[in-house]
Amino acid sequence: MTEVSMDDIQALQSSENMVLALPKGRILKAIRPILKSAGLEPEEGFFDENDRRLRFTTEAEGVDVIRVRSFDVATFIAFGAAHMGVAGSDVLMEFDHPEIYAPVDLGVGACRMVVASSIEAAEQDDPRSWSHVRVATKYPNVTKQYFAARGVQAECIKLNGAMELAPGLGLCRRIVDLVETGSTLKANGLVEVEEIAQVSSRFVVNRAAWKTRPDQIGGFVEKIRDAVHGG
Amino acid sequence: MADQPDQKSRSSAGLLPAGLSDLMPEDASREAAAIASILSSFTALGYQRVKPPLVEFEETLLADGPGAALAGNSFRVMDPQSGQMMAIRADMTAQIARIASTRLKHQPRPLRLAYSGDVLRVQPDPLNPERQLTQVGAEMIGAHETGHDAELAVAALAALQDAGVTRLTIDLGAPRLLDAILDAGDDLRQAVSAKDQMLVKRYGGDDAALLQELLDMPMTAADQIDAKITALMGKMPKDAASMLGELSEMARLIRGAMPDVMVTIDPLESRGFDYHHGVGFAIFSPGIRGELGRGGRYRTRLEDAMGEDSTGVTLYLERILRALKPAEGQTSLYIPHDAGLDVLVAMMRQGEACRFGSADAKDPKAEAQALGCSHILIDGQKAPI
Repeated sequence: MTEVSMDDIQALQSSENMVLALPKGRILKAIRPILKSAGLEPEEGFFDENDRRLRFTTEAEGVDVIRVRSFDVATFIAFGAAHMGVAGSDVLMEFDHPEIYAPVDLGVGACRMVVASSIEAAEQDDPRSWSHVRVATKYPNVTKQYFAARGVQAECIKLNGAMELAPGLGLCRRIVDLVETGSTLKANGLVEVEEIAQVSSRFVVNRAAWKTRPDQIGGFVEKIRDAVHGG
Repeated sequence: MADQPDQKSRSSAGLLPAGLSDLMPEDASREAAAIASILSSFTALGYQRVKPPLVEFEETLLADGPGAALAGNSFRVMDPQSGQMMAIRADMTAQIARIASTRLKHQPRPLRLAYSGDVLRVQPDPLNPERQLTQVGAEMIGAHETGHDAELAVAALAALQDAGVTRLTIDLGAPRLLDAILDAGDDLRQAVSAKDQMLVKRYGGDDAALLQELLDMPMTAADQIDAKITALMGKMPKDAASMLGELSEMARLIRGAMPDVMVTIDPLESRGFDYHHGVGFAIFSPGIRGELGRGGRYRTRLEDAMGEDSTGVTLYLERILRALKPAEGQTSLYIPHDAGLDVLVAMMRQGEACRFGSADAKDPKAEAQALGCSHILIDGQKAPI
């Protein structure tokens, strides 16, 4: 057997490009300074919405970046198609996948996942008597678990947006959704009934990548942590 | 009635139930070769082959120890003969443990056994669609030293290398370490499992700093790991410290035997370990999703005194095949039909991979080409095509 040092193995295993998956939308702006101080800033075209490419380079050698929908970040990371990424803890809760680690809270994108219902329903309703509820949500898994834990069966209607419309149009009486200030709820005649979780964005890592490239991934985790705590 | 045409077209197209598939010739032979290679390595390292049945009584297969962990994921069938419920195996470790504690009870310990076979699961794992999985494994029953765990891990790594998987990482963890440090609630357990720094800080109480240091261990430079482990052991309860000590000893033994394998220590890793205590390990290859195999220390039965400390490894063939390079172009020899069956057998015995021509082949050479043969037998002589 030939003598191969740990450094050689690491160098070999590190020879393939890594992929950083970032969510489209408003979070990008908030995490840009963190990426910059961690040495992972994407090239300019990445932030240009008219640029039709999907894969870009970063200032870090050997790290490419893709922009995808926030739920898809979790999918890419879980299956090892991307090695690192940024995903909201709401997405991670819903996805609940054993191949994803979430080592750093980026402290951005803070909001809350709540149960809301129409004002009239909230006034008449007695939650103690529930055995079944119908809920419109983007988060059927979290919703089912949340209600199941208190002995209530949740029938979830999966919607991808504009959840706030559902109660007013008679689709259901309750929704589970993210709220930041509560103004969208208010504007649509809804009130918050219960909070399910505090939400913020996390730096996430694929499990196999963490195990096979600990130096590189660990280095980025440390830099991201420093960037978050320093900034 | 509406589903009738559907059913008919499904059966004529050969639709299989979710998670089940046919292996085509190239993959089937690669899989068979990989199984043979891994088993022959295990045998040469002193692990004797055993072969348990596909189906067992539910109460013997799923009652306790490693079997109980998969009780919820096993198919059941009723045995019309005995009137009892039977379970189709979802994992083979429990069967090997059963063999060791009954029919091989009188054999000296540690008892080294190897096996291969297919298992069936109700739900696939989150990464792969397969519900029928092919396992190859080795177990050491009556194993209670770190040296045994290391010996078994080294056997698995060597077998994988010899089967052609060249780039290997083994990650060591102690699935019960968290319990040895403190009485953790579900919130903390989840936080540690996700390596979520903020939540570990929130739920970890006085132990938060210690837990974070343990979580950061894979990021520690190789030459500082020993010093770090020694320092951390001083801050932990005795049981926990001894688990960490075992990890470090096991890492040292594996590194000594397998210099070309990367060894990492992630002490609090518990993902995927259902019934293990003591050390656990998972084997990865870069670029392959999920692990190629996993193993570690377990107890054959938890609830009675007959239980034995054991260590074992299970390798997952579906993933190993993804880590192997495709087979090199192999040679095969076309034997014209006229040469006769005796020549076919004679050439096979000489070690040739033969393809026998059909009786009505007008142009043998054209048929040889159509079959993808590299050589053709002409007048008893082997000629390249």
